[in-house]
Amino acid sequence: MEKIIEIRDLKVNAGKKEIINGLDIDIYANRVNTIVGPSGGGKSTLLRCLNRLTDLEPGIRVNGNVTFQGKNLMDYDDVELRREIGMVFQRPNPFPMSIYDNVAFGLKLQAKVSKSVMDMMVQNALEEVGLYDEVRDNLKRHANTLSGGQQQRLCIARALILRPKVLMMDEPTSSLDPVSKGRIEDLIKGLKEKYTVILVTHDMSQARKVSDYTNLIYNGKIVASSEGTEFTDIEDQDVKDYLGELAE
Amino acid sequence: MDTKNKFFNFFTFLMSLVPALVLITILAFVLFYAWPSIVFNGTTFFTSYIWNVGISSRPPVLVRGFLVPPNASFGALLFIESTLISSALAILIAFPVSFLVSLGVEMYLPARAKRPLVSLIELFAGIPSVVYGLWGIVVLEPLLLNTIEPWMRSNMYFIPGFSGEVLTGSGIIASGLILSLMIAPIITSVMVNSFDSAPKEIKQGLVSLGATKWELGKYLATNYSRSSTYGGALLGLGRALGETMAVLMVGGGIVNVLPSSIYSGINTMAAAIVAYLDSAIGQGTGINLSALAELSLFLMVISLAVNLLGRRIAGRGALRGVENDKL
Amino acid sequence: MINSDMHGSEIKWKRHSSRKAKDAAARLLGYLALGFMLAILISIFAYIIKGGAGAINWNILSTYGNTSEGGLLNGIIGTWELVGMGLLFSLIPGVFGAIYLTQAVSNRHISGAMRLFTDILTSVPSIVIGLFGYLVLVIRFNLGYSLVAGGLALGVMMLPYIMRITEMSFRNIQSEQIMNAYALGADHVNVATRILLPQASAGILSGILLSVSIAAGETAQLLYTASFNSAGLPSGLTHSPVGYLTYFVWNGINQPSAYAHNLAFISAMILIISVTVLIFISKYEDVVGRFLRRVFAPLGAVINRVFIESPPEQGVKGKSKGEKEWKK
Repeated sequence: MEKIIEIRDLKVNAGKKEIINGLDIDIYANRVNTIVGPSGGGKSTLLRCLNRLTDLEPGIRVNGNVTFQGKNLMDYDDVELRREIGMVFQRPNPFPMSIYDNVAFGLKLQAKVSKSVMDMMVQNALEEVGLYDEVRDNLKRHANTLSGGQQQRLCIARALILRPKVLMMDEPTSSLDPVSKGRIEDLIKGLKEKYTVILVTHDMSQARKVSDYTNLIYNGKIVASSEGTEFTDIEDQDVKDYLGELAE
Repeated sequence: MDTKNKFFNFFTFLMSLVPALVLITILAFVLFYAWPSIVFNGTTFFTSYIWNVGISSRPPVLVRGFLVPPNASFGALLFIESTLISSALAILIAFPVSFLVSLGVEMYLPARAKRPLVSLIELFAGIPSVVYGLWGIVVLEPLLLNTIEPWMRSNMYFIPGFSGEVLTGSGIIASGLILSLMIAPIITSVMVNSFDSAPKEIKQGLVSLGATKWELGKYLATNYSRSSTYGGALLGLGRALGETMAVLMVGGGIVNVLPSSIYSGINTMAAAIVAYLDSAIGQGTGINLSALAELSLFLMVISLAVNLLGRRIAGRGALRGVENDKL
Repeated sequence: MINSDMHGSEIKWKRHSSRKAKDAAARLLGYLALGFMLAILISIFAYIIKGGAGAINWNILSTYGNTSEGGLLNGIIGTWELVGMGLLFSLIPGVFGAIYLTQAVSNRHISGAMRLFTDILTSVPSIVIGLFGYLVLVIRFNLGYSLVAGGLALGVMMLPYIMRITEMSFRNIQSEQIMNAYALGADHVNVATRILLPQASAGILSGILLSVSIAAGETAQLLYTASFNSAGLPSGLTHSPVGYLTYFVWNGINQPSAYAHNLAFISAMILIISVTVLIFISKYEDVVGRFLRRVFAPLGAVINRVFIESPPEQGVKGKSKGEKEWKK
């Protein structure tokens, strides 16, 4: 398997509090890389380090060695990095504008394309998330008229239009109903053909459904990694207890 | 409920009515005192710029049912124009400066620096207006007279109104600059607050699509914060219109001449009321006082209207958090 | 040429150097604007303090006078007398009005209208209040140029600030605390005196300080209500004019004499220093509040034990009555 991101000895502090504490992880290209762990365990922070959203948060200090496509993360221009590593958030966050404008937003910001190319790119992005057929006649409708699940797929399309190498998803289904959740899980499985997916979740059954490679994060450290979702060599009793809880 | 509580509720209810009663009382009395002038002057008040208190040594004459000194006529056009010009200039300066300051504070400077810096900017709103006037007289006016205005005259003469004579440092530019300092903190507070109150999810969404901080700020200012941006500007304008002492001190206090260039002196409504009240007191017929009351009434009505409009546009929500500023 | 397999490399990206340049320009302009404002602030303070500190002496601070002779003592004392009078007129309606807006309003339209009146009262130009004060208080109600007339004119301006900030501090109190108190049978009087007022004390103080700082710097309301008194302090509450510092600034700088200018600068210096200290304390109300709470902690603990703390189950169950009243 080809590694697209390698993280070594990542440390993140918020003030005096250590959120991530010497974390090592490899992200494999064109796989669904899942990060499972209890809330408050540093999962979201890890994602925010990867597209350097942490730069914006006051008081957060990041140390460590992160390589993306063989190049140190800090050597990337932040704007360019965020184009190559897209992100989808826990709650759908469509911008207050039309469906079309939402999807087009990133591309308008980052590229000069003609109207016809833009139309096609928006259509492609919406097709990729299976939303195009649902909204094709209403592209000018305000995005917040969509259902929660549709909004989240819109947010995925919005990230995909920039053709990122990596798509990070921070518990993308946690605010959705079971049907919408299932659709997005199916979508994630399909996305890995073209993209590397990093999925953060605290839902073990979701990990089982979609994950190719699963990392267990506990107290700011990766305590176990495995292909599939079975962890065998865990010694720490707390972690075992946590896994037990997850299994129930 | 027992008597004690009934009484307590009634008392607090009465107390909560006080601001409304005070406002209505002021409006009613000012209207009452302005009435003779309103009837006597008619539309002349808004069309003439000649403010003539008449010849008080001669016996008063009866005009439209009111006794007035001969030759008296009260045209407020100069004062109205002065007020509008100086306030407009103040907004023109304060608005972009406030936008840039709030952008710098909100987007670029470390978060730790924000509160002290915003407090420092807000200190501008707390400086007494006579102190601004004093600073204007000793620092700003000489600077304008000797350096800035001559430079503007020789380099920007092609702009209409910029080619006039530079006579004193006081006038439109000094008033506009000082007013802009007084209102910039208001606009800045409202803008910083509205940047702050934009949802974090949206800000993060924008940034993770690769928006630069400038693009983020521009987007927020033109979308999320648009209404509070305009509302804040109107609140600032409302304050500039009614500002008295500073513009009295640096305005130039001209009479019966409309400003001819940007270097001209002015005399705003508020300044004129202070300046002429002294001589109006004890003046036999009272029409003089009444004319100043009419000026007050007009000033009050437009200040309140602009302020109300600003509050309506900004929405009370946008002003929350900046409520303990001098809005 | 475009298909769904198209990858990033085939899109013509904007050169991010130009976007970065715009970003850098915005940053630079932001810093410049901030620097410009701070430079002016420093200029104002530097000129005033330089002019004032260079001329100040004990004689000026300790004698009565006007801008042609004598000192500022009548102005210093008069300013605080007037502000104190203004506070006297505005504090009670401000605080108790805010209590009503917080706890007893059953109709949102009425409370909204009351707040609107409070808000727009702040936008009445100061000279309009001054003219009103002259015509109505000084002449019609025959108070004469006086402490009461000047104090009322200042009070009109202080009232909305006090009411608004007090109400805001009440709203910052945890509503569970208030509901619990109602649930335990506390009435409006109890809640106001045992929870609202003590808990919001720092906030109310901050409102008072802010309104005092604004009032101390006002001139236009006072010119024709307090007039000016160079002979000394007012001899009574009515029919006796009062001196104040802002008059020294305004009148002093308009006089041709260096002595008058000195008095103007010293007065301005006293004003901006007082105002800055007051504003600083009121803005950093949380820091000051922490100090106050430490002082009043023993008292607070007693109040807490008697009226507020309750076993959680009881609090939740018995909440309904209090909650209803609160939600109105």
